[in-house]
Amino acid sequence: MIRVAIVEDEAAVRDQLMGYVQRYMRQYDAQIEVTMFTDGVEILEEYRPVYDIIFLDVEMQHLDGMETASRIRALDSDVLLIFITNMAQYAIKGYAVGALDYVLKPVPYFAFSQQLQKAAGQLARRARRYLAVPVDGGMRRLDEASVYYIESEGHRIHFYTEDGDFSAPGALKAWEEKLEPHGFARCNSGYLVNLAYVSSVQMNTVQVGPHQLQVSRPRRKAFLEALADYIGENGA
Amino acid sequence: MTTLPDIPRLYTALAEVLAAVLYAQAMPPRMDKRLCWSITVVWAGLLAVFLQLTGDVPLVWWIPCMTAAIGWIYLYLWGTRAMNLLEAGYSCARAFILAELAASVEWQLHCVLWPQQGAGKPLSLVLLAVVYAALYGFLYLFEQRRATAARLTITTAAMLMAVVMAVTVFAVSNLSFVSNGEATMSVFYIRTLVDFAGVLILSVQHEQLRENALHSELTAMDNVLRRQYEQYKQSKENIRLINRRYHELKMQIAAIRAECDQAKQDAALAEMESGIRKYEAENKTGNPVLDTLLTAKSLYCQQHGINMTCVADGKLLDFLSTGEICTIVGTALDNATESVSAEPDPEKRLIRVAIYAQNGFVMLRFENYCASPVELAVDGLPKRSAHGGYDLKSVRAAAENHGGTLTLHWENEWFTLRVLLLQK
Repeated sequence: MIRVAIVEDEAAVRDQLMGYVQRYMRQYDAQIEVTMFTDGVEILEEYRPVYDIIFLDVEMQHLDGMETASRIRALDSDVLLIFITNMAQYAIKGYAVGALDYVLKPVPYFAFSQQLQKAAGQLARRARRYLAVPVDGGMRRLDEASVYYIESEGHRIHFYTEDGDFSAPGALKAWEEKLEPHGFARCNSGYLVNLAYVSSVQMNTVQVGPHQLQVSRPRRKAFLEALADYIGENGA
Repeated sequence: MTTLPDIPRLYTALAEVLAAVLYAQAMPPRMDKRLCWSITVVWAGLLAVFLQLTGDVPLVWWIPCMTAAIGWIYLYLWGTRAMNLLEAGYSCARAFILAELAASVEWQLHCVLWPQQGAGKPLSLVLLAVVYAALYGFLYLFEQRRATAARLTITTAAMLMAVVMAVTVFAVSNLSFVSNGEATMSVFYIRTLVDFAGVLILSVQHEQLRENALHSELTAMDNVLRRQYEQYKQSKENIRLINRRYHELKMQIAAIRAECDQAKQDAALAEMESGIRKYEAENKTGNPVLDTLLTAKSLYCQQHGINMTCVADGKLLDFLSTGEICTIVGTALDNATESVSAEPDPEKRLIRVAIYAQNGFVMLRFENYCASPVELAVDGLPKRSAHGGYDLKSVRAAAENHGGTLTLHWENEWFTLRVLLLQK
């Protein structure tokens, strides 16, 4: 279930977008719940971060879209913002409020559906995922997002996480297969790195959260490419 | 026939060191120059010691020792110069055969002039210095004059061919040694001739690669010129559009002047004002070069029914040169517009551009709708030139210059080009 809010002061455009969402649901067999607002003031009144995606008209009477967006952003850092506008030159500054993109008025269905699809894809990637790690004497539940990196040493692997480090029996290869689609990549034969924590890549080293790890030359290119795809898929 | 002494191992070592250093000059060192030369000295010393120590090994051990020495040259080339594995292999093969020739020629002269003279005698050393200086000096000058700005692309095939050639030459030149069991003048002749042929063949191959590189350089230049012409045509069209707009404005002003009703006049002026505002604020991203590129492209898109949306923080690109921004953004936008222009349904001509920073990196992302799959080659670039095969190489080079990279994907009917740069 995706929760969408649409903030738009023109009734005709509201109806049109509602129709588009319904058409999208039929086309992609998606579950979407839509809440309509007629102005920025209205959505900000007792705002709670319950929406996944907000479509926001830039040109509105009382509170314009940019201002509304920055106030929403202050309250809700996760929601995906997409502007609706007939003047692209304002929406180009959307990065300032972390807006994904915009659709130009008059809104065609295809452009709208593609925006919605991309936003839905991003929501799916963001979902929290947990790992079940077999440790000595039981299983341990681990939030993927808390892992800095995993190191292999002989027949054991070490987990370095935000909540401390621990080791478990196992092979890095198996974890690599599982975690690669979720934004993990190897920077050399012994380290599997969570790309979300990578803050710099030098010639021979990579900074992963508080850790500095070695990058091997044969892996450097593929590692950078994985990082480019990760940042390109998940950013703004 | 009289049996002659074979080439002293230290002579061979010197020949190999000189040849390796000669061909290493084609690429810049990976590290600081002084460090690189220090490494070279240590490396050369170790090679000499190794060859000297293994000089008297039995024939069975001779091949593995030779292989080890070649491996050591390979390691030096790959380790100290900015070469990839293929380029190092190629240069290693060339260096090895050249060293064989130099050592062979020098020793043959030595044996002709004074076969009984020891290798360490001053006269022998003078001959060594003269022959090596002449041979390597000539080749050094030759290489310098033939150097190109374009980097040669050494394919696996080219590398393998050089290696196979080197191995063959080496085997043939030493065959008579193995069959005769001893060194005679005729054996020396054969060795020198075969080595000479080997150096010649490898040089011809190299020349061919060089010509190929020049040719692709020329094609790239051609593309640039063609694009500049396109840009010229575009500017002409833009000027025409602007002139038409001026004309319309003049007409509107005349109409407003003629209007007597104050309210209607105000309304008309307000409408005109909002009409103008639409144009004046076009694409202000914070980077003038990016603004120009985007404005030109969005005018093109308006004319061709392409829907381009862009969310960009231009300030992030301030550390790039104008040329780099043009290469990266210009090429990516050209490819995207070219690709969507082929789309028959105008509603589907969609381009999305995003430029943002995350975790200390700058991401430039260009996406366009593209119904038909785009096949990518092993190097990650499109197989056919529909998505700018050659141009994308320069985009990748620009990204790599800034510690980043370029990736391309086709997924869910969208083609995505991502450029990652290290933020300054």
